[in-house]
Amino acid sequence: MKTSNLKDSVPKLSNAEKLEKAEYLTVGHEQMYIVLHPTELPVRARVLLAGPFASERPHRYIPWVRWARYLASHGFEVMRFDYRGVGESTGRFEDYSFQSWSEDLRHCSNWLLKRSPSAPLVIHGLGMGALLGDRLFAQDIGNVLLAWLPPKSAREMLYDQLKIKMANNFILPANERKTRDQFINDLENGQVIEVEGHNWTPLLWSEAADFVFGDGAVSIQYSGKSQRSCYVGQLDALAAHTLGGVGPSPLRATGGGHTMRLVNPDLSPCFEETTRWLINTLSNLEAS
Amino acid sequence: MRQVLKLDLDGYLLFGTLHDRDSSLLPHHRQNSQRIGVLLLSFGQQPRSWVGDLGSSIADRLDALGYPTFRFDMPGLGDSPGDIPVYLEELWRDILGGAHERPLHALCEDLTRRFSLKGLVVGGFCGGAVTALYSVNALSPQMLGLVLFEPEMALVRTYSPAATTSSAPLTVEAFQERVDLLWRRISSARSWRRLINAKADFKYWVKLWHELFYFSASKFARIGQRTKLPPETNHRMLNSWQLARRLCIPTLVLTVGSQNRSKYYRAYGLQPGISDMKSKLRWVEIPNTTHAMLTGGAKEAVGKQFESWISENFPIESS
Repeated sequence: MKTSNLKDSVPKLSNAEKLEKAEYLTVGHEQMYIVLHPTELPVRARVLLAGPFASERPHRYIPWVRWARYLASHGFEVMRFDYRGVGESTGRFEDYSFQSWSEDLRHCSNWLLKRSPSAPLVIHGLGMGALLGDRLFAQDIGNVLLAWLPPKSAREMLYDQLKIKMANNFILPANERKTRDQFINDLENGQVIEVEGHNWTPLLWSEAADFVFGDGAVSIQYSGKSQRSCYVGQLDALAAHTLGGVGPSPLRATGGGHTMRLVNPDLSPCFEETTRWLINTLSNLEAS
Repeated sequence: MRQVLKLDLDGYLLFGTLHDRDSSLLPHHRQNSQRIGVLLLSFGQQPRSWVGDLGSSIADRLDALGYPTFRFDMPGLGDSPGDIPVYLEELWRDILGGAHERPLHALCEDLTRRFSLKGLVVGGFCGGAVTALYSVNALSPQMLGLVLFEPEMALVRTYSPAATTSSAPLTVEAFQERVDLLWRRISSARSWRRLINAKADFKYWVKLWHELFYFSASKFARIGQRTKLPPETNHRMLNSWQLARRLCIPTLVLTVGSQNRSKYYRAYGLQPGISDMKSKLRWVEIPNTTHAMLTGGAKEAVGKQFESWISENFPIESS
């Protein structure tokens, strides 16, 4: 636990951190932002991290990057990226939706598969990324699918995210406030609604109906003989809170008369367990 | 056109994004020599695109006007490696205390040199606004303007001892040291001899009278106004604010236009929503929105305000 003032401290960086590389790939007319975390060890596998939905992205960024670095330090080459219209990638959010973000994931997997030496591909999704990863895995891409906190469906996820809109709208005059169902109704009637700075379009809502977790997947569970494996990771309370905002903080501490919030907790138990599972699964797949 | 930047500055490895559609079109020697860049810092723990991608949206707008715009992650945040505390409040406390001041200073120097810029307008959101304001302390001629979104005037309370040291009012200490030195010099025969022989330390006397003048002037200006600041006041930040006003650095402040927020700023002796042409301060309140400045059309409004302010204060010279 670090509580010291950071003012005069220059960070001590590992070699792996110094090797991290960010660049843009061209997808259609847009630039897609990717970050590659190379490993200094022999490559066990390549991991493609599919991040959460736009409004979740800034809040999950720190643990997500920490996870990428942890994997890189354990022999995995990791790639993460921003969907078109979100974060560092170019494009207007309202011009894209689940189908195009699925294409982004596929584009990244193609890019990663072309790298040498060849290594198994792990698709790892968080939240919406798990939905998209599930779809890609069903298309026979990747050796392992790992899902963290997958929503049951894209519509359920959007419905849940509307709570942000409702909270923000308390600042508006009472006659402009709406319920979640009223917002959904607006989308179904062809209106665009702004949620946390992103314009949700009727296309986003209609395409969401096609994305259900496990719906299109070939559901190949690891059997010892199969060449592929998919797994919904069970996160502990701390990891679920940090990576998905699920439940209250399990590490409560008071500071200045109120409960302090977590920004960079030690998630190594979760990271260790997941890495162990990945290593075991990959060695079993190799053996079979 | 966006470009990823990865800079190694004094041991800090910083990832950033440059929005510059002109860079590939102009010959190198003409690219930047008279251009003014904009550097945007994110708030608190957020990555450099900001919540709701407000930062990248503003950068796209400024790039379209012809201002090369940079957004960077400070150490330990976003893509930039580094350590940060476990708790959010401790991170905020560190940022408000100036944890990012050194990397920002190194970054500003590097960007102006690397891209041959005339100078930079430094902007930031919340804690990033505080870091941006600290850049004034370097008295760098390349620091041309400030844009402060929802600047945080209070230090975050934690039980860590570091908070108490950073809340110490620095100017008062410095002033007291000068007063002590003055008495020592008055009672020193050697000092009088130097004065009579015209070997006086003129710089010392000029600086002393200069500070005395501003100290008295600020006391007079505050007659009838609030003089007692809240205990959690970030005095260092207020000093930087006053320095920016004294140096007449063009500054745009964008805050939420609500009664609570106005009351908050008034508690620190500021006048939200009131611009001061003399010190080149423009303060605009955005109504019907929240701290993130996204809802209620604020994302658009904030971008427009920034565009109009920068076009007025730093017009692009046509070649």
